[in-house]
Amino acid sequence: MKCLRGIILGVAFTLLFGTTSGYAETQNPYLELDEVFQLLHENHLSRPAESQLVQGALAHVREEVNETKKQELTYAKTDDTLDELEARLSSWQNQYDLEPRFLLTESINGMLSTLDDPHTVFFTEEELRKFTDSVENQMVGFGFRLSTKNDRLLIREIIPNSPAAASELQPGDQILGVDDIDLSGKSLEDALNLLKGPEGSQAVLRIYREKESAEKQIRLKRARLSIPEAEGTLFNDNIGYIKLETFGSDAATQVRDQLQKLTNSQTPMKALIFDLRDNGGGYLTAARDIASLFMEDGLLMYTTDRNGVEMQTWVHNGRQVNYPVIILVNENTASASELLSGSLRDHGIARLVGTKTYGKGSAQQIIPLTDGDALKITLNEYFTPNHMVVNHVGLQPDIEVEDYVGQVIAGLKHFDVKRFVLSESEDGTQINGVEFPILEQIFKEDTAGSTMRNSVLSSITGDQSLPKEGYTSIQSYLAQHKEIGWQKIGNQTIITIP
Amino acid sequence: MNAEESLSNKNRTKRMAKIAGSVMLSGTLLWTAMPTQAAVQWLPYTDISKNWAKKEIVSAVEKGLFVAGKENPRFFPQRPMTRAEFLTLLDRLFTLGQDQLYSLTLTSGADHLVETNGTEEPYLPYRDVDRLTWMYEPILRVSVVLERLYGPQAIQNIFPGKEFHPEQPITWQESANLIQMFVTAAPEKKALQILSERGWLDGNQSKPLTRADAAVLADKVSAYLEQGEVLPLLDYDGQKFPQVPYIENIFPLFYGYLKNSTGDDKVFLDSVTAVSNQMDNPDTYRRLEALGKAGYPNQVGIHYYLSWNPDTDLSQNLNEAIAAIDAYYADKIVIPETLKLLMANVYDICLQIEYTDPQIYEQTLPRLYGYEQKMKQGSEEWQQWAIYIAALEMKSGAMDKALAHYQQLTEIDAGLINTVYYLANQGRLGEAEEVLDNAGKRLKPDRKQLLITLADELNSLKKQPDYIRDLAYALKRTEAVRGYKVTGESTLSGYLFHYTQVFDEKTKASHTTGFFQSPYKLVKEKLETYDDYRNNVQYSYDFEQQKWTKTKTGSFDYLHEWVESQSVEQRAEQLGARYLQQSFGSYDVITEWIPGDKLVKSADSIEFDSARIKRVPMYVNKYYVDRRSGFVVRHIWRYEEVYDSNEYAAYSGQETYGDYDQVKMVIPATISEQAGEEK
Repeated sequence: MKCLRGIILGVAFTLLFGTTSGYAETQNPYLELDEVFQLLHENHLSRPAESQLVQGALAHVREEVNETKKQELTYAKTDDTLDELEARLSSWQNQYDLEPRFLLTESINGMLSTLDDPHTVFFTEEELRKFTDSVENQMVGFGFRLSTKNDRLLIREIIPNSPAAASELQPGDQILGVDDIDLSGKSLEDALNLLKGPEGSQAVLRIYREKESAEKQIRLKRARLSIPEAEGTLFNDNIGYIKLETFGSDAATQVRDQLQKLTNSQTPMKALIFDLRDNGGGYLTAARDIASLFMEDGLLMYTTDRNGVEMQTWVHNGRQVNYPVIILVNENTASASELLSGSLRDHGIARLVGTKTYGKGSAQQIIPLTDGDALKITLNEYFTPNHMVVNHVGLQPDIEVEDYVGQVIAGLKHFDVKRFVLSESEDGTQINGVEFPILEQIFKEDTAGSTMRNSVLSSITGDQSLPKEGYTSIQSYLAQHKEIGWQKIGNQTIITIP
Repeated sequence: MNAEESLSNKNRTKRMAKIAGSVMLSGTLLWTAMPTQAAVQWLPYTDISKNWAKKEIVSAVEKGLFVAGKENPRFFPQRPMTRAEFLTLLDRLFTLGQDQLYSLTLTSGADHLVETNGTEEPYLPYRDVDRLTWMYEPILRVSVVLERLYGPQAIQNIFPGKEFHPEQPITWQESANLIQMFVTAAPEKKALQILSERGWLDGNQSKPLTRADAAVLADKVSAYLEQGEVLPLLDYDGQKFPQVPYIENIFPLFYGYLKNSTGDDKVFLDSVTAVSNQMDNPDTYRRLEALGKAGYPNQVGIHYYLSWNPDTDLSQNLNEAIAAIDAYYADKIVIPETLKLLMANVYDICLQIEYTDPQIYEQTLPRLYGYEQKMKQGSEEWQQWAIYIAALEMKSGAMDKALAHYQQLTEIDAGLINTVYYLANQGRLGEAEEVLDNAGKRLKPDRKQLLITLADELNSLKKQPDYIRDLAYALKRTEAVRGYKVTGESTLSGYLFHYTQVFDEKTKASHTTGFFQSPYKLVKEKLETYDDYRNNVQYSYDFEQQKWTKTKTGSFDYLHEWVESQSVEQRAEQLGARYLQQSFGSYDVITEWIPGDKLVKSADSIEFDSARIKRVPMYVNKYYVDRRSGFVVRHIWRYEEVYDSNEYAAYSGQETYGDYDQVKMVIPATISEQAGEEK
């Protein structure tokens, strides 16, 4: 058999041995500039030309120096090679006494600015860690969640395996201050900012415990905490609900475990609402593994690179769901979230409810650079199994609903739910037993009596005649719509539709 | 071993460890005897203390075959073992024995799962084993290894259908079908028969295999795997024979010492520590020398460690090595283990001197022959002497003398393996068989596995003509059809290729499309070529310039291109290729190894891309023949070629063939006319 002989000859390449990687070790202060340049020039999806990158870098450095040092740098429009760029940089460095690190980062940022691609990013070590932390749902902190009640900061929840969990802190404790800072009367956002600090740092919390009528001081360390990526629960109607916050490396096993919990519960779920709203994506492998929890076999996506090489990514050895699935999406559903949503929809496994998604149909890889920084670089565009374009377009939902609560209700209605139990408290909104954050109040008392937000009311009743904004008097609405059942028990409002 | 290797002490340690066949644990000197066994035996589980298989369960846990610990307090020895559990166990056994099976799988570590660069990851043909489960990866790995060994979808021959039923108890038959992957028995032997012949079937086969049964089976198989390669006579790089025995400790003290020795003893012990920890310096050897001259009693030790001096000439080291043997006999205490090490030392130094003086073996042998009269012939002590004498004789070219020695040494493993190897190498298969038969008559139980393994391998050597004929037939069939389609994935020195190729045997042309990825880039690049084999022309599309270019082909750029031009018969006769045929399910799998030294000699005069071949550490092909159609359906290869330009080409890959007789193609005239000559 004539093996690969033909191919090896057909492709112009040299066999390289030893040190010919193009990133030779030198004393060059712009080593990472070389690397970034090379990476972009040879790999970026948009095929940037050498002159484009070089001119971009020079223009940006000039602008920055002009702004910060009021110096007017000049360069030639004919500068179009990396060597010329570096020659300029080192002469500027000497002439204007500029920091090499400043020139390095600004020229890299200049190159990146020519790409028209917000997803190709130069990261310092610290920025890279923040980025991976956000993908992995990790944060540095004491390990409690706060809420405000009557201007008091209260501990709402303690995160397991955190410093807070190991301390004597309890849910309900009021936070009075941290170290010398008084937190009383502060807004939630301000308080959270004041509580922040580097990993490993210590602080003394002042708290007040109402049931003991006692003030306490508690010393705590800030630690790296892993927040669950997926959380699941059941609506009253045996409809499962899983919220996935990010596609980190534990996302798939967490979704698996949540699904297991829901299917093994006493009243097994008959349908699932999978919430990908505000999920900005994460690792592709996580998306693929999660897809395998919904389908036995199937195409996940196509990807293409700058050379037009198209690849298929398949899911194999998954499991087929035997219940209908709704995926909630919104304008912040991006990247891996869109990939998963698009694929499950193309395979007829899920329908999308919400608003048009973000439209990030590109895939990046993180490349470590010599001196500890890193480049996140766009290499591929992806398409759904039906070859739908996602990039800059987004996915149009099957059922379009704008309101955050209304999206959940539309999902439930899709599964024939006719009875809606709503309640609101300081901590959130409950819909049929599942808690959601409050973005906007559903019920309001005003001079006309009880009113309800139009967008929520219309999503329950399907009444398109209601105005989009504002609130409607419940009493008068019910008078006109006898088919709607209405009951109020305690703080719960129970609405039934025919 | 190569000539450029500097003869530093460090390298010597490495080398000596190599010839000794053991990995040296640096710095572990045994000052006192190891405690034999703790008084109370620790048990990894709470429910095995009275179990009949307690010993094997503990041993299997120690080898990492079962997981113990807080999370797994009980072993459940009486419970039937499930299929998923057994495949997980098999996966761990394979991990233990993967080096021994390397010549057949051509893969090691986890690389068979990542090798495909994620483009076509392997998966299981079952619906009921899901990715995100504990059992998935072990079962997948076993499936991948089985597919390597036996061909496409091999696991279906053991567990047919779309369901694997992971929780179902495994049967003895199924476990035997799986375990036989560790041996190369003749295809006509049944799996259970293979296992029972080796003494691996202990339980009641009419009952399901319990977890205790599985532990016993796994313990025995792992003991067999620890003992050596699955094909002990196979020497594909020409470096393995003559074989010398295994040496436990290359830095012994030779004499008994107290833990807190003082004076001269302390000087000696410190020197030994320095040498064994590679912390030696010229002072180390000056002190040893002074001790020796002062009449220090442990003259064996003095001379032995002086022979390690990296600053003296190798011939001086050799003198010291021989002086150590003199001292050994002068002591008049018979310690065969010591003599073995001293002889190994002489042999090792000779191997190093050989680079500069190929006559060293002939010169050294007369200095060692004299010792024979000091021993009882045939004694254990004599055997240790003779096994190295034979190795030196073999190296000196005195094949007959060496073989005569080996034939008197068949009671020890190295003697037996060398005897069978060299007899077989000369085509004296009948005599080799006789040697095995006789060895079997004086059977020590711990040698049973080796004898069966050697008999299996000898059997495959007898069948070489059949294998050669079968492979030649299958390959010729391929060429006799009109055309066929190839899908392939390969790696050449870091470049990954993925392609589809159609061959037309009538027009002698092919069309290839696909992509490749450079190790220096993050993105792939397209490739498309047409080959005209009649006129030795290739047309390839330049995607950057968007035009066709034309190149002359027909010369050999690489050794493997030349080898491919040789027929199976030529490879067997002129290149010394060895074959093994294994049959499983619907495939005959023929593995071909071509020894590197023969390849270098045969291709000596060929100019490959302006370099000559210098060394071929590995050259293996595997062909999978569909028994029903007679066609080759898959080909896997792994070649390593070192050229005198110091270029190292590692080329491995897999091709799958199909659409036999359904492919026709001609090179479009527009392309052949338009294509410009390559500069």
